[in-house]
Amino acid sequence: MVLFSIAEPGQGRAQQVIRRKRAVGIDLGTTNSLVAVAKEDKVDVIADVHGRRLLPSVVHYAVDSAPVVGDEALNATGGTTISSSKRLMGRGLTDIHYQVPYTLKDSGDGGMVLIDTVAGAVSPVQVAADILKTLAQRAETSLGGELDGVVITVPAYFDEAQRQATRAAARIAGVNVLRLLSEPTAAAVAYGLDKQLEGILIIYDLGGGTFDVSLMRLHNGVFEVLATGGNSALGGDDFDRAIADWICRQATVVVNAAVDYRRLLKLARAAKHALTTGERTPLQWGTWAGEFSRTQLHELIDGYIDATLSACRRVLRDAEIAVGDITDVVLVGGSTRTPRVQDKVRTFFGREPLCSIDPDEVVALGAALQADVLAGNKYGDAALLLDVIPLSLGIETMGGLLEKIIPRNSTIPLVRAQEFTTFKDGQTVMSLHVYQGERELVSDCRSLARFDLRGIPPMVAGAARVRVTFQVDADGLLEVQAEEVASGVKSSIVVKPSFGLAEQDIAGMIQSSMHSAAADKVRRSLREKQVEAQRHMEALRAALAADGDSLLDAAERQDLQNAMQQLAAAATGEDAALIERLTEQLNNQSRDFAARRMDAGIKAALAGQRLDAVGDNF
Amino acid sequence: MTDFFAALGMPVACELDRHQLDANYRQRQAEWHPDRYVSASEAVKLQALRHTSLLNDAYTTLKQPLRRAEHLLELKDSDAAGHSSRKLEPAFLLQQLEQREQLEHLARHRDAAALEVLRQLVDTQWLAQWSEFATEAARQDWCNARLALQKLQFLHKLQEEIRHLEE
Repeated sequence: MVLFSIAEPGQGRAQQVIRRKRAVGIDLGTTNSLVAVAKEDKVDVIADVHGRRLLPSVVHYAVDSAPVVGDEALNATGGTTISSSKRLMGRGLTDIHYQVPYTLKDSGDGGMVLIDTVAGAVSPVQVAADILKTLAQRAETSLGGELDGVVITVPAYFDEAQRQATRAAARIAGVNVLRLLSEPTAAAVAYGLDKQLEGILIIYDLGGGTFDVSLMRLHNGVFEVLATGGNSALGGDDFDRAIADWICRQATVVVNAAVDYRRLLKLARAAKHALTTGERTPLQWGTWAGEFSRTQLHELIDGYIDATLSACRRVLRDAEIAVGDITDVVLVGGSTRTPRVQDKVRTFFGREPLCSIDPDEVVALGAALQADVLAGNKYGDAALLLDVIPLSLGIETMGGLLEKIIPRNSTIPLVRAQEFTTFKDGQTVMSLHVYQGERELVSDCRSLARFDLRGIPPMVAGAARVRVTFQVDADGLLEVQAEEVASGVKSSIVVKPSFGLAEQDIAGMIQSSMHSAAADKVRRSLREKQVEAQRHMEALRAALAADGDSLLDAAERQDLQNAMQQLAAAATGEDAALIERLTEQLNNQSRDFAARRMDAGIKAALAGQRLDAVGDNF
Repeated sequence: MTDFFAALGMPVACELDRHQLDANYRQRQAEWHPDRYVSASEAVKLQALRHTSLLNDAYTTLKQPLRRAEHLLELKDSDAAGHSSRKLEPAFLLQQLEQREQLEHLARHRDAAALEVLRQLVDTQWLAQWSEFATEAARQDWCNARLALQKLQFLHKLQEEIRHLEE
């Protein structure tokens, strides 16, 4: 595709064109994932070649074939299908207190949980990487080249381990992360820039598996997170499970098989959706048939919704903000479509919540806007996001107590130091154990990392001065350093959470992703040919509409139309070679037309008329 | 000792214009935030991180009256050790003791109405003590100012416990 512009007479050389950086926003969701891009004046979700905007966060692993992602994975058979694995990110087996439709196992070294599949054990990070790869390919196909960078959203409530796991997934997928952005912040950006909001916003984000609430202040393009809270294991999936269990009770059956339970969940979800508009809906499971009403639904889900409102109350308290101070309430996440959720939120905050942007898409759109800024496509009036850490960070002291060094809801980035001392005479090693959490005892908090400061000169107890520095960057990632002040002995660690992955694990996953690259390449090449064909047809259609009547006779025009129809038919198929041949053919046939348009364009330009339309070489 | 007032372009004073503070903080963040330096060298990125971290610390400190007062004394009072050895008057300590006992009593009986009365009383005491601190600070009598600050610290703790109970 050669893009040539025609300079205005007298202007001299054509203006130099700077390539816009290809930067996208990715919402890596529990249930669905999506990718969006900001263009000159609008931001939109990137659909796949079939026009689908949401990619179900589902991956199918089978023996001897590459993983399948999305809708195709939902329908795939003969392997292991993994869904909602975001809830397992950065988690150990003992953290999982709910039922999952696949088998989990311990990694053996107390690390992140593994999922058993027919193709071997898979880490949740690998699943996330496979989803990211699919989205990145989708974006690259649409934008016509390799991505320069992505912004990936994470729940504000994600702790260190979960953020690190997300980062690792991006590395495995081979995408360059500009920033991890919290989902509510991304949503606020989408609404804030769209509606020119100012004041204090509460972002109520109820997704499939997580609930997040954030309180933000918007002022002159600065988005300041005041406080954040939520629950990383509460969401619409809980509604579905509650309904499924209710069906079991009504039908007096026990559903054990994973396949049946998935089918039951599907039924439950459909019933929930039916009640978004209707008052009641018929239900049937096996031999049992009955009816499900809104009253029953409310009984099942009110407890979950009330739990979200308690979290809202806590966040308001943390920020010392009264309900009356809030200027807008923004709804995010597919589960906020449930009317009961909207009702309760409306009552609690005493105002009509905003939901004009699709709650499934708003996060990705905001992330895309920020990616555009971070990649350097936008200057000057760019929005600035000031995020906070969701949980306190600290260090274990004598007696298993947590000494908090950075309290939760502190604005990041942040560097903070505190001094500790030795406990015994002549102590030369100090063991530092880093935790995250709100409780007093470290046993109730999450262990993040442990390292030793060695070589402390022997002194009497209490004489050494060990300065421990916590540094949290704008992504919320932690680095800890310890130094004995008198001697200058230093030790530092970039926190690799205990529930993260070892470096060699990540390296191994990157390696294995190279192996499946061959199959990916074939698929990718087909996509590229399809897109290329579409682009040629688009350009030709536009040219025909503009100059078809003046520059072509009826027969010539018909020939071009026929060639186009042939190509359009081929482009929906899977035969890459055929698509390529027909594209080439259309190119040849339209060359003459293109030349005539060029001539006409140059004539017009020489005649002193400005020509905005740019020629295309079809 | 870093001067947080200077870092945010505010006059070194006990009372400050909150709108000015907010505006200055945001303006400096907009200039220094690491997001503005995504493609800069590592050294520049680190510098941006350090500086925004300082801005965040300064803002958090100056926003809260008690921490602002503490910081003010750290900057101004050259004889901190000497001044903090001065004892609080017994009447104040006795009053603190009584109010603490009252709080424990209310906690056991879950008396919300009485708790509210106590909260208002302590809030009033805080305001009175605060204006005393402000006066002493304005006169640059750091010895008396530190005494007032110690009382503010006591009252602040009590306020926090009351708030904790209210939840």
